[in-house]
Amino acid sequence: MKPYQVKIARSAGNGAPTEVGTFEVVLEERMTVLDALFNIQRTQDDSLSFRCACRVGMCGTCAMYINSVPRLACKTQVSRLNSSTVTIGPLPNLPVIKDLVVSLEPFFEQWKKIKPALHSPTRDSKELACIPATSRYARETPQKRDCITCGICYGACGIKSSSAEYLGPAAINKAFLRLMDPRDTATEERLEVINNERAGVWRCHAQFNCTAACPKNIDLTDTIMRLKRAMLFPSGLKKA
Amino acid sequence: MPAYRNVLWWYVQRITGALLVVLLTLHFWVEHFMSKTLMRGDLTYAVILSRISNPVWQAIDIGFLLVALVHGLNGLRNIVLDYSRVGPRVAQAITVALVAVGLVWSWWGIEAFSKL
Repeated sequence: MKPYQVKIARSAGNGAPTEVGTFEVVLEERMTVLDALFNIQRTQDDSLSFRCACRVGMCGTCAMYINSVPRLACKTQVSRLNSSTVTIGPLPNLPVIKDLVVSLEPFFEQWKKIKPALHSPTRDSKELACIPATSRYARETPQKRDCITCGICYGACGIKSSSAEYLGPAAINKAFLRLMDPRDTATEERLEVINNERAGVWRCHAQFNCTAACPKNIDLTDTIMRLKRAMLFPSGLKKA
Repeated sequence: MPAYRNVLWWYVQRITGALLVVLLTLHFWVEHFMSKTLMRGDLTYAVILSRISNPVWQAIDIGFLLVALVHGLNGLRNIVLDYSRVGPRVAQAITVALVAVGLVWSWWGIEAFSKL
């Protein structure tokens, strides 16, 4: 059992920052930041607000800014932070609702712009829309399909912090998956969005912050760079 | 499916960046190390004139100027688009202004050779 000092950015119900709350917690070796937050909420301050759901890194709900890096609180062991002080804030680039709870509305507004749903010409078909395991889509995209829409890449992105219009890495990754999907037909519409000078891939300068922060280890920078290169001959995206 | 205009500028930025590495190295080598007169310490206007009167050197110098201008001004435009919250019309005005700066500067540099 080891004592830690936990500093948490607090805010009022309207999201306006009020103070940095400092708490002392004693944690066992393998306990996570989420465990620390529950400990504080149960024993020291029941007004502390944060979000979580699955607690096993599947849902992405507990994304927050931990020791200056956006991470999932449930996957971050306090002992691995190598610091006796843990500083926790809300995810950057998103409006704060209260304490560590942010609104993901701007994130999903960008997400909607790339038309995330499958646009199949055989929409009413009862047949299964199978993707052959040998296809390029199946071979090259498995890890890129692991996105849990936690918003961590959006919070980590340096360009997103200066541009409200930029789509952000997760939305671009989703667009890339749909563009490569041999079953999808909304290619032109998505490419128009991706090609937008203020919002599309051209704003990314490969800082790799999104890739470094992604809890599912998706190489988002690779996705964006591949899309940029593909824009010269966009028809190549769907090649088998 | 046609290529998008923005992708061409993205490639141009990369190609000009690679060219600048070569041209800048050549420039520094020629200007500071290659000239025997320079190494001897008796560099004169006549020595410089004889080199820049050569059409090959003129082509290299003009190419260097154009590559540097395209790379620099396009990079400046990218910075403006990245870190400003200007609207599309202001962004277009900035683009026009940068193109104008590029054209004037190109003319200024190229025109200098006509006075040799």
